[in-house]
Parts: sequence; structure tokens; C-alpha cells
Amino acid sequence: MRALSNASAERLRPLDGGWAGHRDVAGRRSPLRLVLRFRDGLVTGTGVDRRQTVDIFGLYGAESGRVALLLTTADGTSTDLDGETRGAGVVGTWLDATGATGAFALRPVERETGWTRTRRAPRATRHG
Amino acid sequence: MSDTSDTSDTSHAGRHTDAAASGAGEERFLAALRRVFDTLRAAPPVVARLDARLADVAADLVRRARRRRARFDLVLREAPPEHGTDLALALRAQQGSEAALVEIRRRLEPVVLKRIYAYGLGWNEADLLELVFARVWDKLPTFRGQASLRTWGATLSANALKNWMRANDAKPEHVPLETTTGAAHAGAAGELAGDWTADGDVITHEREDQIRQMARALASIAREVLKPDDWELLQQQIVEGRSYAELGGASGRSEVALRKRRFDALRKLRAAVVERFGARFADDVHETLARP
Repeated sequence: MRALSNASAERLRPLDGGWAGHRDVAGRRSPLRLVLRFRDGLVTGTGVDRRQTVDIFGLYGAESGRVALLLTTADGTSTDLDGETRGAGVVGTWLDATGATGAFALRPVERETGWTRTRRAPRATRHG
Repeated sequence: MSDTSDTSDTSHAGRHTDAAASGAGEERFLAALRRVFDTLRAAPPVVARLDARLADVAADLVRRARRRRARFDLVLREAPPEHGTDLALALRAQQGSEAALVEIRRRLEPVVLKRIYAYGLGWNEADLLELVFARVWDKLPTFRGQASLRTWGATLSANALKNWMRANDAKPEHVPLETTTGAAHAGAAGELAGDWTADGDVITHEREDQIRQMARALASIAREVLKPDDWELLQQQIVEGRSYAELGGASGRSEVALRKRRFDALRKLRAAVVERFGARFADDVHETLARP
């Protein structure tokens, strides 16, 4: 007989939408504005970084709360943002092809965006 | 005859001898095995070493189970219902909440009307609306939140209408939307003619499908273009959330080297995804980006 178990687990789930923040470049704060879409471990989106439009490709771990965002400009220059959740936002470090690195922080623009704790649906278990 | 029986006796005796020999061999083998086991038992350092590794084995098993879960999450095999709020609404409706039923009707009405008009059945709008909603209430317990209520309702109403057309041998007849006189449907008709267009809906779904396809194909693309170590690194660092220090300790690489490898691996992966799916996978969100 198939029955639903009452067991459920909390998990982190990022929600789609606008994100704003900054990254530290050579001692100055450079603004970041991104629109991200999270699907099945994959992040896609677009944004503006240092006055250049970037497309975003990345991965995220729903359970780990880690996120990797690769920002690529039209001329192919890439920056890798390596972040982890901090509240509803993401903080971490960035690295570009020249080896330059620094800190970054992003927070959701809309209230309903960001990393939220959600209840995972109870899993089906088989009894008998 | 006697010769034959002699021969038979001899062969019997031979078989007995063989059996005895093989039995003795087996016994020798078992005795050797016992000695091995006794030696092992009597060797506490070996047992101690085995026991000492058990913690690592257990941790490894836990890690593999976690990775398996994480991988499943990556390829959408254990994803939670995507449309939880819709599912909650449907469940409330099933628990007898009239407000929930009203809400569902309100949401699905434009969808159903749209299908009715799309099939050219606007001349029988009222009857068909009733028919389709009877079907919706009948099938509501089967809604599992895998699609939105609107998508689910659209599919259900399309099927119900096709069945009705087949059963009644009904023919499509063009009825322009402007002739819709029902005041009750004014809002729905407005939505039909307004922002929620068929094309927009199709495009959104296509884009959504494409991203999901990308996510599903990610593991196989990664296996094609990345070294196994690099894909492992991405999974362990991002999906499992292991720190560079931890990974560096296990692999003997410095944290800086691992960070660089991650960057290179991501770039390769993106290039392969762009090659397969095109560079404009982020187009749909461009419009929503506010100007800085």
C-alpha cells in the first residue's frame, strides 16, 4: 500500500528575480545588478556589472546553499562569483581570468526573492 | 560377464579412491581456511586497523548518499512540487473550502474560455463552460502541483472539449470575441484579449522547457567536456558545499589551485552549453532587468 510519510525536511530554495549588490574591485565598490533564474541546479540570467551587460551561467546546491555564478561579457571576459547564502542573500569572493579576486555581496531586490527555507514535500514511502 | 563385473568393481574402487582423495583435499582446504581465519582473529593489529577505518567508510557512505541526493536534485528527480501554492489551493478545495473553489474557478475561467474559443465553440460557450468545470472538479484530486493550475486546467479543458466535439460531431464556428455579451465574462475576455496571449504563454513555456532541458543535459555535457576530477570538484564544492580546505586536504592541491580549476571548469561548461543551446539562453530575463 502506498502512503505518504509525515517526514519532511527543510531545504534552501532560491527564488527567481532581481538581485542587487556590489563587488570590491581594487579597493572600490563596483555595483552589481542581476536577474537570476534558478532551475534544477542550474542558474541562468543576465545583469549589469561595471556598466557592462553580462550573461550569467551557474550552478547552485539546494541543500548546501552554495552558488556559482559565471558572469560573461559580450567580449567573452568572465568573472566567477563563488558565494554562499547569508540570510536571504549571497556573499562570497569573485575571481577573474587575470587572477584578480575580491569580495562580493548580493541581496534580493524584491521581498519574495532570495534564499528561503521551504518545507520539502513529504516523500512517498512504501509500507507492507 | 565376470570380467565386466571385475572391471566395474575396479572402477568403483577407483571412484571411491578419487572421492576419498577429493574429500581429503577439501578438508585440507578448509583447515587452511580455518588457519587463515584463526590467524586473522588472533591478529588484533589488523582488526584494529580495520575498525579504525570504519569511521571513514561510514563518512564516505554518507557523503555518497548526499551526493546521490544532490545529483538527483540537479537532474530533477526528487524536486518538490514546483507549484506549491496551487497545490495548497487544490488541497484546500478538496478539504471543502468554498473560497478555494471560487479562487480556482476564477483562475481557470479565462483559460477554459480561451480553449472554447480556440476550438471555435464559442456558440456554445455557457454549456461548455459548465461541462468543462464539471470535469475540472472531477479531476481536481489528481492535481499534484507538477504544473501550474492554469497549465493543468488548459490541458484538461482541451481534452474535455475534444472529447465533446468527437461525441457530438460538433463543427467549429467562428465567433469573434467582441460579440461576447456576458458581463460576467468581461474580465476574462479582457484577459483573453490582453496580456495573457497564447503566443506569450507558448514562448514562456518553451523557454522554461529549454532551461529544464539544459539542466537535465548538464551532467552529460559535463562528462563530455570536463575532466572527471573537475566535474567532481564542481559537485563537491557547489552541490555538496564542501570547503576548499577540505577538498585540498583530500586531493593534495592548494586552495588557490582548486579555485582556479573551478573557474576554468565553469567556463568550459558554459562554452559547451552555449554551443549546444545557443548563446541567448538568458534572453527572457533581459526585459525584467531594471536600468541601473
